[in-house]
Parts: sequence; C-alpha cells; structure tokens
Amino acid sequence: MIHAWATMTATLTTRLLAAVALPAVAVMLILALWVSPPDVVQGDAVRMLYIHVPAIWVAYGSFALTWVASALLLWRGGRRTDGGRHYDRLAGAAAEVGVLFTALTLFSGALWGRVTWGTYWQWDARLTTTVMLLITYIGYLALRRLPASGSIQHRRAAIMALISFVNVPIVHYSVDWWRTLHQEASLSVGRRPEITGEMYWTLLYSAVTVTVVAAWLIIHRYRLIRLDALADEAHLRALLTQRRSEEVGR
Amino acid sequence: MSNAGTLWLGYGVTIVSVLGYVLWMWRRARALGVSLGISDNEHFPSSDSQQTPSDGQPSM
Repeated sequence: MIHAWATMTATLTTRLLAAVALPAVAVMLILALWVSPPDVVQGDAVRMLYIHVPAIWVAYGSFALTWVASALLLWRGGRRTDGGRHYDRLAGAAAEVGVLFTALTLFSGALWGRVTWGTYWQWDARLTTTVMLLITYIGYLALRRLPASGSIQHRRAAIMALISFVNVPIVHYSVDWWRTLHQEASLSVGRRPEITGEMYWTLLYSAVTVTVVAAWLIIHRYRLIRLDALADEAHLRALLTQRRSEEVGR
Repeated sequence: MSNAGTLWLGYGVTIVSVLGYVLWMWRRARALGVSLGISDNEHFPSSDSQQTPSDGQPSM
C-alpha cells in the first residue's frame, strides 16, 4: 500500500472520457459493421478500414505526444522542480499506447491483406516501415527500463524518442514515395479523400472514438507510471530508515 | 477465411487487446494498492478524497 492520497488513477476527466467512449464504441461498431455500405470491389472486407486506419492514426498521435513530451523534457526539464519526470512519464505512457495500436494496425492489416491481396504479408514499403516503427518503439520502451541515474535515464529515453519519430512521416508517405502493394492514404492533408459518403463519415467517427479510448488509456497509464515510481521511492526510503535504525541499535 | 470470419477476428482481437491492456493496468494498480476507479464496486474511496503529492508535477 502506498500513500493515502493515491486511491485510484481515475480523474473526473477519465470518467467523462469513459462515459463518452463506451457508447461511442458501441455506435462505432454498429456503423462500421452494419450501417456503412460494402465496397463495390472489396465487399464487406472494407469494414476492416474502420479499425485499421484509426489505429495507425492514434499510433501516430501517441508517438507525436511522446516526441513533444521528450522535446519538452530536454528543453525545459532541468528548470522544473521535478527534473522533467512529468514529461518522461507522459512520453512513456503515450509510447506504450502507440505500440499497442501499431501492433493492432499490423494485425488488422494482415487480415485485410489476406482477403484483398491474397497474402498476410508482403515486404513492401508501407508494411516494412510500419513493422520497423513498431520495433523502434518497443526498443524505446526497453531503453526506458534500463537502469541509470534519474536524469540520464530520462534524457537518453527522450533522445531515443526524438530519433524514433523520424519513421512516422516515412511510414505515412511511403505509399507516395515508393511503388507499394498498399493503397494510397484514405485521407491525407491537401488531397481529395479516396472515400466519400457514409464510408467517409464512419471513418472520421471511428477515428474520433478510438482517439477518446487512447486518451483514456494514456491518462491512466501516466498516473500508474507515476504511482509506480513513487512507490519505488517510498520503498527505498523505508529500506534506508530500517538500515539506519539497525545501525543505531548496534 | 471468409470476409465475416476476417472481420470477427480483426474486431475481436482489437477489442480483446485493448481490454487486456486495461486489465493489465487494473492488476498493476491493485498491486500498488490503488484502483483504476472504473467501477464504484472496487472498494476504494472516491476520487474526491484524493490529495496531490507535492512532487511538483501537474496532475493529469
């Protein structure tokens, strides 16, 4: 048991997010699996779009949050009373959620590819860069766990996060830069959408819903990482106190 | 695999994975002696009684 203040990781924000997310997910499933029409070429397989695309958008967003938090840690961490630990925990929480959604993107994409391309996997530019993105951020999470003094541990993770983010635009624009089996981006800034009507609105709705779910996960994970660290510090303080009392008793 | 089977697998694994991550966090929170505060049946005081530790960090 840790401090009395830490009774739960929920806040008013997370409870509001959960209250929005649960019915929103139910509506998303109805829209994606029943209301949205089948594609003239792909048929019902196109419904995989509504989890595959939002999942990678949320992963991009999570990794962008990791980048911003890491940049703030390196820029302003030294001037904060907590040494930038707040930014470090936010970066870690966002990266973890990003890894989850990148893995789900690859999984749903493999299933979709099996139906539309006849294969689960091809070493084409989009798929290869996406799997590299996943591996890079798993590496980032592993690096966070390597022991070191506090500031060194935070700063080296932040530098790794800044470098890792370079792959995000490469993944997104890989379908434009190289000839790939993967179709072009469904929605892209400055370009006419590849889809319209009910499919378009269902995709946007799904993206907003998955973003709300991801925000809920990131906030809880952030607070859990924080409590974990505080529990470690409390445990260390207790051990030191015990050691001192043993030495006084001799 | 049929389209229906593919969709069931894709949506099913996605939902189970996210719920699995929530469950993992819930277990981690329990190990720390706190709760995620998802349900009022978790036998922990309400979030209104929370106090912020003075470690200089803003609360999320």
